[in-house]
Amino acid sequence: MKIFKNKTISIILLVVVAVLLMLFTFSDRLGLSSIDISGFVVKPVQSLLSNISSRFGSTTNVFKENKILQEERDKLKTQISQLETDIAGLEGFKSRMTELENSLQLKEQFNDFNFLTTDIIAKDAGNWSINYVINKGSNDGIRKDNVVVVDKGLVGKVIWAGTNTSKIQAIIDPDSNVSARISSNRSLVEVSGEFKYKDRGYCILNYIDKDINVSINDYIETSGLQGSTYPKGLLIGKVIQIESINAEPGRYAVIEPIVDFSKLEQVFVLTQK
Amino acid sequence: MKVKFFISIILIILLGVVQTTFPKTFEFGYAGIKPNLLLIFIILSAFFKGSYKGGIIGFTAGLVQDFLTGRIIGFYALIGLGIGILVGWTNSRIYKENIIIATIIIFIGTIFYEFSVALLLGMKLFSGDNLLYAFKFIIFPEAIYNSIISVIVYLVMNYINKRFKKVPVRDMYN
Repeated sequence: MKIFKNKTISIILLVVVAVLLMLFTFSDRLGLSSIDISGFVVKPVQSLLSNISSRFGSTTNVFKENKILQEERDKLKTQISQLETDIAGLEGFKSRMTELENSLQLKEQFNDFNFLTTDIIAKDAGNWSINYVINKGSNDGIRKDNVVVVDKGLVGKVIWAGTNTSKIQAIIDPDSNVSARISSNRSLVEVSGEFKYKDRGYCILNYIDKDINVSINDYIETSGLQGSTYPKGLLIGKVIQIESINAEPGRYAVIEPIVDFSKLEQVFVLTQK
Repeated sequence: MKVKFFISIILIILLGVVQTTFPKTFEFGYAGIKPNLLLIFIILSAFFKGSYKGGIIGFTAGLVQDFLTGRIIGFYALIGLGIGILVGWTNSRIYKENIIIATIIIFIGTIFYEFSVALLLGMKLFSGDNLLYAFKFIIFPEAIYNSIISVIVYLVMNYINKRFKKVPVRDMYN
């Protein structure tokens, strides 16, 4: 501390350092991925704490009867979600019957990927973003923009891949935008996170063209358009509400994702083979 | 002097790790609000130690947050630096022996900080009823939560200050 004789100069120095760091992150030049604090120092502690946190959540159920009811409820929930996935699959298939060729391409597309199992070891520090840290990184083949899923649907994408850990952004994060289609009528839409809805685990369809038909219970999947981050056909969620607004384009839809973000513990990263 | 510096860094990293693995059971309110332990540390440090040290601690705490779960490195470091300097301004002007005053500083500081963070993160606060939602469900609840926790932290920090070092009153003449 004796090096910094003038206090004002030190403060200005800090400001300059901070701004430089931000600029470097933008242009990705310094390769700040090599400074993997998470992986080196913190990952073991975070993993341990995450373990303790989740155990603490489950030991607050004191009565056994509660546990039995819970198990039953969980079984029913799994059944329901399986049924929902089946319904979604059927709807998509109905309209894709005339596009057999595209279906074949879809299958091949997923053959290009490895499914990497990872655990979530940390969540965003603040109350504004829905980002997670997972316990694998570039050493395991993860790269920026890799898609993240759970067995049922889309979780988000990798925004930073360190050596041993990575950061992922959920689709319900306010910064997230996913190019998508309505499964039944193949209309192009965009699924975005919205800060008012992220807390309930929802996101929205914004900027819906006037001539597009959207109804409640419509399923939404990724569009996989040329150059988009997400491959085609990944299930995102379903429409649960349609709201009208005063500004253009007059309405937006609330999407309930297939994925329950409040219960996420393990996710899969699609890495290139 | 160097040991104190080293301990602060370890403490900040520890707080950061706890903050990012904060158990859901302690998230309260409609929007599942958790407190901001790093922010509490920054504000109380700045309150007790002034703008210069507060700014440095704010920068470091913010930087740790950037590395742990941040998107753009330097973002929270800069904001932390700012809030440290701002709150540090109260160090020579406000009586620090009063726990209620400290709690109020935390409350106001949190509101100011989270509002700035939300704006800088690009949340469209000024469209529709977003501003109301942000304050009612996110900023105010977090400010209250932070204030409650800060009571404990304040008592601990005050005790440490008295027991091991110069009495807080002396900071006024620094």
